[in-house]
Amino acid sequence: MLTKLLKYEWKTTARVLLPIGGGVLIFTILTGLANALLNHQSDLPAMVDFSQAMLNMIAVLVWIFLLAACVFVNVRQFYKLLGEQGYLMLSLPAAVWKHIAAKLICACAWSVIGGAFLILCGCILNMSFGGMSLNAGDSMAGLQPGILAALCLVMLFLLALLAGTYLDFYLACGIGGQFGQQRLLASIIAYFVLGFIEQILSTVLMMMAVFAWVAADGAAWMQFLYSVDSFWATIYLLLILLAFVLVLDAIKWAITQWLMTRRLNLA
Amino acid sequence: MNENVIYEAQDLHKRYGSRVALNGVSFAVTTGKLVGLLGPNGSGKTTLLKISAGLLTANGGCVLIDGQEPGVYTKSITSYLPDRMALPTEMRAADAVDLYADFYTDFDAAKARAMLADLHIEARNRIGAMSKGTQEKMQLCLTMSRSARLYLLDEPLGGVDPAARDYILQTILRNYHEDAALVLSTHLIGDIERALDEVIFLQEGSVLRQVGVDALREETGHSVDEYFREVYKC
Repeated sequence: MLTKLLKYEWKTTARVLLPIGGGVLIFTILTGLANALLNHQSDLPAMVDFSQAMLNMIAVLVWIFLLAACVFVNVRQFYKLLGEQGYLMLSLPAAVWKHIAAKLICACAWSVIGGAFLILCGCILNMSFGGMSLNAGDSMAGLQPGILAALCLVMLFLLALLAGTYLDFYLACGIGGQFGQQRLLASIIAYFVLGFIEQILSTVLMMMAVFAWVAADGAAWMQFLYSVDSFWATIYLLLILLAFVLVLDAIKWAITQWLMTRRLNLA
Repeated sequence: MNENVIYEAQDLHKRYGSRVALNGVSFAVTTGKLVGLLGPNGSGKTTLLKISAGLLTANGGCVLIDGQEPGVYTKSITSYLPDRMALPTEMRAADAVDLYADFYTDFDAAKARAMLADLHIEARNRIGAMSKGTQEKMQLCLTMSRSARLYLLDEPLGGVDPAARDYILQTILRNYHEDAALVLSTHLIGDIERALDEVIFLQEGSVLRQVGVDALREETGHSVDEYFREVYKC
């Protein structure tokens, strides 16, 4: 059932995002071609230089628009699930966690693809493909296994942060969905209130951690990190941070799922 | 408990803030019955069906479908028609059929396509471009193309012209089978009365009466429509 939900989710979001991506790509290629032509000309009038700079600036704005559209489309999909479309989707014989998972996986996948697409667009704009290779093995072959593992860990950490960002939106939609009217406004307010609460909690947690660290003779614990080399110390710290972010993500997911199962209130 | 009971509510309560929508609703529906859920606006019909479809959480009591509370299993055996357009408007008719075929194992895609052809709905037609009445008919066709054990239809006759009502009624009767139960809410009692086996009257969130249609006619000497007008007279 999760695969089917993913397929449906992918098709729905692709219907909106692919044409936008296509438009951005065409615009970037045209700007890249203009750059390639004009950069080899000398003594161009100032007006042409200004127009070229403007064109490049618009290209960057279009990229930002693409990223914003990616986030907006994916969040809107979840918001619609708690509105009229919920009458169809939540009537399907699928557990609520599968709906959340399908939307989250799809949103994260689009964001990662969007990021890779923007790197490609950057290369097109500069017409610089020298460092790129179609064979991923070429660039990975030179890496030590330890470095490769560290890179994977960093990617995992970034992915957990990305998922957390979407889960913030989902939780806000879930809270907004509890209201009978003005759900969109309630969701927006809930998003900012949640952000505020997260900041306060982070500060409190950090202070508690510092106090606990002092009380538990943290310096002695830190000796462990000093005893290993800086590479492994970084890995351990990254693992601790990853675990912290995953716990936060799990809490946000659990509350959203609870709201959608025990407090579901479709408009 | 009667083994044929497929759908029941036990002391069901639902509040929206301070407003009481359902106030201790209890009834049982057995298989093979076509039941009308009748009541004036705000009597709790839609709320009851939404809770039964698993789209709303009750504040107290419970709904049981085939002995289970609303969840994945009950959704797999219940075909629910909401009182509004739930199909994504950007979809084409063929996409909607594919979606139902993907998710419901009891969905008969060939039957759905045949019914859509009867309504002159082309596979490539966008749902958003259809008239409101056509959208409702299409949604009903999809709902009735399932071989479910319980059909919950919320206002299937609302918003369509009298000729279309006949088609909808025929669609319901043609596709509903004896092993299933069908519960539908409506205000247009006159159109559906001849097809009903039982009626459940709701008033201010409570069950006023659950009675067989023939028994009601014999007892009161009135049709269900006339009885409804008398009981709910303003």
